[in-house]
Amino acid sequence: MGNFLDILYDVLFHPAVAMRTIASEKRLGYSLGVFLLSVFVPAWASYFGLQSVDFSVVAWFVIIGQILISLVFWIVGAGFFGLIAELLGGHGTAAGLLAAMGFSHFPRIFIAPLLVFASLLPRTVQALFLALFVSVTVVWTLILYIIAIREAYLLSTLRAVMVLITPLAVIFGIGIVIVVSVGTMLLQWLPWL
Amino acid sequence: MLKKLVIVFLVIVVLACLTFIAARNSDLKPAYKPGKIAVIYVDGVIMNGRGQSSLLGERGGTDNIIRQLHDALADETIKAIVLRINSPGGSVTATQEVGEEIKKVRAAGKIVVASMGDIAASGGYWLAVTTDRIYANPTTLTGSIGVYMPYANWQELLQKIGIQQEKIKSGAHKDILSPDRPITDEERKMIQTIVDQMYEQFVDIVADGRKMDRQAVHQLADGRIYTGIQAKELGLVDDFGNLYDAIDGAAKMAGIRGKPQIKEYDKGSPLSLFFGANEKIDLSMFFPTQLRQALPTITPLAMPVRWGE
Repeated sequence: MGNFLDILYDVLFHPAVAMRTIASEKRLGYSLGVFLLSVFVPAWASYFGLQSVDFSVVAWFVIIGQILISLVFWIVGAGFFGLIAELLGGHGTAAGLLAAMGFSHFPRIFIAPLLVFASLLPRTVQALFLALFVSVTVVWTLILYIIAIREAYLLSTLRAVMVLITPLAVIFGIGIVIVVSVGTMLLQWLPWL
Repeated sequence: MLKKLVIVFLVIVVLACLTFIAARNSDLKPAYKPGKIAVIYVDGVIMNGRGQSSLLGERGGTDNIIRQLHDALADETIKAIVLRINSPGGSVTATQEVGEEIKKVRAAGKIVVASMGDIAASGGYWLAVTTDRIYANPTTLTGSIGVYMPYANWQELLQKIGIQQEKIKSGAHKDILSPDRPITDEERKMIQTIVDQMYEQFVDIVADGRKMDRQAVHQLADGRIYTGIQAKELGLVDDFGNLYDAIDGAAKMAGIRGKPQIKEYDKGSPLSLFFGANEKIDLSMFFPTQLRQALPTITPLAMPVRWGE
């Protein structure tokens, strides 16, 4: 347990060391625990947030959907990123990357304190505050992803960034193609009057 | 040791925050929940049936509209319904069915308000008068209070192309309004009686809904259409305004404080363009072609004759 807490501390303050240790020791059990905690805490906050605006039914879908999608993204993402990392010359194991990526979600637990802090602010700045600090949390998570990939596959930072953005770029490209295609189809309905 | 303390502190903070969020939520749940307003759309020709089905639901057809009214009636959170009408009318019976359902909703204590779009004529107007209040645009086409029963005689055409249709019928009038023979004077009188009877029902509905004298309604109800301005001058509509004015009016009538939540029924989505290609397209687009052919030839219609021809 003591070691686990040390690792969590290092994930926040010495991420490179922490990710290297996690990837080499392949601590999948710890990783799953951290991952579930990191997903459950913001989901819990979302659940009560949605309930307060009378979306009780939607809230359950959101909480379950958030957990399932994150879980799938974590496992499938680790597979894809591992494959791309190997194609870019990295050496490591998918299990090591999976373990390290699980810990990368840890900053998401700060969303709960952020929500509490935001609720104490004037309404006019609440949205801005949340947008800003949730973005910081997302960027922090992405940076931990990059460090996890770099340390798990012994890559340079630039290559680790490439590993991360390659699937996103492909998805973005497919999205652009779909939007353009749909736009072209919809334009056919426009001439009226 | 410091590392452990930091993480333990962090865990305590997060747990405290989660507890705070849960407790605050239970405290802040408002005792008063603003009621919802349902928006139900009546688009295109009013005809009985289930409309079109797709992966994303059903659209069109009065069965669908009646079910939506029924659902809105059963939903306790819905305090008022806005009926957005954009219809030239349709079948008398289908219109009457929807009108009766609207009456049930009103009898249950819920407010129903009509909002007219481009056109709310004939059957569309029938539905509007069954509501508590009617909003129209100054340029809305409405009125057309009347009933007709379309009939086509194709006998000469059938003879020219060599088709001779024969029937073995149980009675002289079993094939009344059949397009392969002319209508007799006796049958014309029978049909006229039916149309008149339906017309009188329409007049009753208008007189009752608008709190007007039957005689006064008779004078207006020669089938002509009116603009929104004319209709307001004649007392056929209450106010000018768009859908949101009608929603505000309904909220006020239902005693909803603050901004009401809106629940739209049968709202089309971009995906419906793929899963139900033609369901979102306005029926008027089809009117001169497919839809006109689909109209049953002997159903009494409450819609301007020009659209039904």
